[in-house]
Amino acid sequence: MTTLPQLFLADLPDGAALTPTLIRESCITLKRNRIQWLARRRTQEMAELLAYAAERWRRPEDAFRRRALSAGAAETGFSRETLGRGLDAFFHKITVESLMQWVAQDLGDPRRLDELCGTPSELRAGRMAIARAPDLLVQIAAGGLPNSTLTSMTLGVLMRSAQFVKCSRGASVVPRLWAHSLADLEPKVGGVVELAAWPGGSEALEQPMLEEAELVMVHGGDETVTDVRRRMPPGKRLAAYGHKISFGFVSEDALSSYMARRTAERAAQDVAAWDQLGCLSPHLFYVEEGGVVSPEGFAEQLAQALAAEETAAPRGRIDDAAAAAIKQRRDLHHLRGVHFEVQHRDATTAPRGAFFEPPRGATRVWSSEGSSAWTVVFEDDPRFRTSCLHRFVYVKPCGNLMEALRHADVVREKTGVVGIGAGEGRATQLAQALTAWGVPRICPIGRMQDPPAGWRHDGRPALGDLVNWTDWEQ
Amino acid sequence: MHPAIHDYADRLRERVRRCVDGSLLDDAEFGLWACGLAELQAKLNPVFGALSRSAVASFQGSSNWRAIPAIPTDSFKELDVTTLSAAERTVVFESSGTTVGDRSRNFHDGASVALYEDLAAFGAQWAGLVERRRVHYSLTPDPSEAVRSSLARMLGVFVARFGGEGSGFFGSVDPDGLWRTDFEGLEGQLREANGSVWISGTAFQYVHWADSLAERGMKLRLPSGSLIMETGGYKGRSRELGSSALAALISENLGVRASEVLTEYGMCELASQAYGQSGPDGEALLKFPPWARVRLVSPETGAPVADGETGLVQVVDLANVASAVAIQTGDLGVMAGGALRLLGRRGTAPRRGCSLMAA
Repeated sequence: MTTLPQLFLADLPDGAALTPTLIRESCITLKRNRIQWLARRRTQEMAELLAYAAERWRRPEDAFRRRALSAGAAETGFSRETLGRGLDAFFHKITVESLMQWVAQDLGDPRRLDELCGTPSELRAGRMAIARAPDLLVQIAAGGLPNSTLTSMTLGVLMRSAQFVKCSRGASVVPRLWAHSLADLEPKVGGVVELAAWPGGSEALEQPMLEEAELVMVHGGDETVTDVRRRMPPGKRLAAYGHKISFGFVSEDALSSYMARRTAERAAQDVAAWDQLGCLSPHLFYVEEGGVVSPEGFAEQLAQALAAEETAAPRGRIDDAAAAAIKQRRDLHHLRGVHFEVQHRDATTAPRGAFFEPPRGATRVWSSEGSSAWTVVFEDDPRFRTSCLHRFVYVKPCGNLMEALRHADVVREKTGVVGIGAGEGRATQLAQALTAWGVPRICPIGRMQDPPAGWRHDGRPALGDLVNWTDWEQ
Repeated sequence: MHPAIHDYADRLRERVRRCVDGSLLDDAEFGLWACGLAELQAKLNPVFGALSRSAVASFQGSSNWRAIPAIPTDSFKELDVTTLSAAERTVVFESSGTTVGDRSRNFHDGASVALYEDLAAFGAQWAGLVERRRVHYSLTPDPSEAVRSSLARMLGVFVARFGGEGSGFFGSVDPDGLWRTDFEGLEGQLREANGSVWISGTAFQYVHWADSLAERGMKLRLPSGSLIMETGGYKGRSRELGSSALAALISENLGVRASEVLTEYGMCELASQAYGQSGPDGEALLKFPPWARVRLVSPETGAPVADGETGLVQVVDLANVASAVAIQTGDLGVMAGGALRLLGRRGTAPRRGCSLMAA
């Protein structure tokens, strides 16, 4: 495949003029095409189409995949390897079973988008219902990671909504290729999906899109979400996903000399995935004291594992400002470390007795040499720190999970996921404590950036939040 | 202050006086001053001492000022970067962070504040700001009201030493600690001014002033030959403009030529200030006085960068007697013809990803 057909606005050469009229006409056309071509299809059929397209993307020789890896790496700044891993993780989840299960999970019955039906308890009560997909789903996508856009597009196709996907400038290539690959299998899908890219906040272009939408989905920071919410026409629904902060907890029983290294390797995968830029990427790991391997020892193993990740899937390129933030942080923590050592040289070598509390505050930095590629900071201070990202992670000791959560309370409302490294018995107990604390997702360390299909993004049913219902009481 | 630092400060003051009179401070002599101060600080400032001992290159007994390790400005938020004992810290200059833990703190005593004031005045003379006496209006509060502001302290010196009759401060500190400026009061003074004036303030104050004038449908026309000095930094208190855009805004609203708008670059962690003018198409080209020198290092590798390449700004400032002689700011810049062009802390690229990020 040499050139892509010009199916979407985003395929037009840079600088091609987008106008509010063009955007509105495009939305109207999408809705008309949907009625003619797609509205009557069944969910199973769409799931089969999506699963087959995803299967093709998993093949190394697939032309869309290859194009995504070369053009995508250039556009997104991720290395080929990092992008490839991220895309594999996504496309592995898109199977007929997982999609149909998603419908059943969020809507109570796999036929729910196709016909009036009911769960046994609904039927006993003489009720049936059908979930109606929005006629036009408008998405305002975040820059950087393509996953959330790919997911929403997949759901849009599954429920047969027309879709207008507004991408960030310089972040359209992967979603565009996903749409092309679907249109390649089923041209009519190409007629109900539109993609365009322009700088965020261009009100004149966005207004017709917001007015034509039945439901608007926005991924972005608080400012973007607030801005879109302010401009929503009355009566239209908004599904907003804001920026999040995630972290991990390593329990003492996962710190045997055998388990600690495996946990550190999995933690490194979570840090390396999408170069730590996702809302599910860990900023720090709280490590429980009292294991065979100490929190500081865990930090060192995490550093070794990140060095190995760098060889396998290098961190992508970053701009000078991001590199400057990393250097400034590294230098600060190095300074704290050497200063602490001088201040407490005598204290730290003294025997630890019942009446002697060793001073807190020791700091150590491990980092890639001659580059900003990865950094681990061990800090004997349990206060939560947000990272400057791009594979820069904190390790902090703590007495137990409750102590860690007390310090993480400053980010509680913004927490996306807590990854846990623990033995089986302990994991249940930790999950109960985290549930009480209020986190939307708990998963094993190593899978933080790889949520299953059907996961409840920010604690909300991703598909369930998109539909409207018709209830029929017999 | 330790007697050795006190002695250094006195000798530096005399040397700087000669600099302003035209005596050159060449690389080797600058190196001797810088390394001499660094050696003293390595003994007297525990933070700088620890850093020096951990550094790969040594500056001990040399004149290689490029080998002096730099303290990141963020350290001033978490550590006491000072040669002064706790009892000696009679003055503290703070950055204008939004929360206490977010503020840099730079400690001084009477002697180091006196040196700060004298060298700020010499710096203004060196930059040619005081060739004529002008009435000086400061948009900041009076230094006696904003006691922790190094900027207000400096402007206090300028007003007292170089300001014509009627000079004064038009800012005040509100109960929340925020600065307010009495723009209408100042405009009243300006209407009565005859002859050129000097106005000083922070970038966000000029933006507020321009907004206030626009609300009232007004524009000013200041006497020609006036000097408008803006110090960078918005800290989220108004919309942010590049220095050339700010110069254009000031020029339009105050009725001065863009060439009469001067940018000052200073911070509470540095005792010396750089000055420069923005060109029509870019950020200000800043120059430090001879007693402070800029090093640019690669944010990626930490190695020095060549002229014309982007680097993280480090300043070796002989006037930082009470803290540390070499400071690493969080700013990016480019050296062009011996002047520093700041690129700011944020890149121009849009942010990537969906995780909240530390600034």
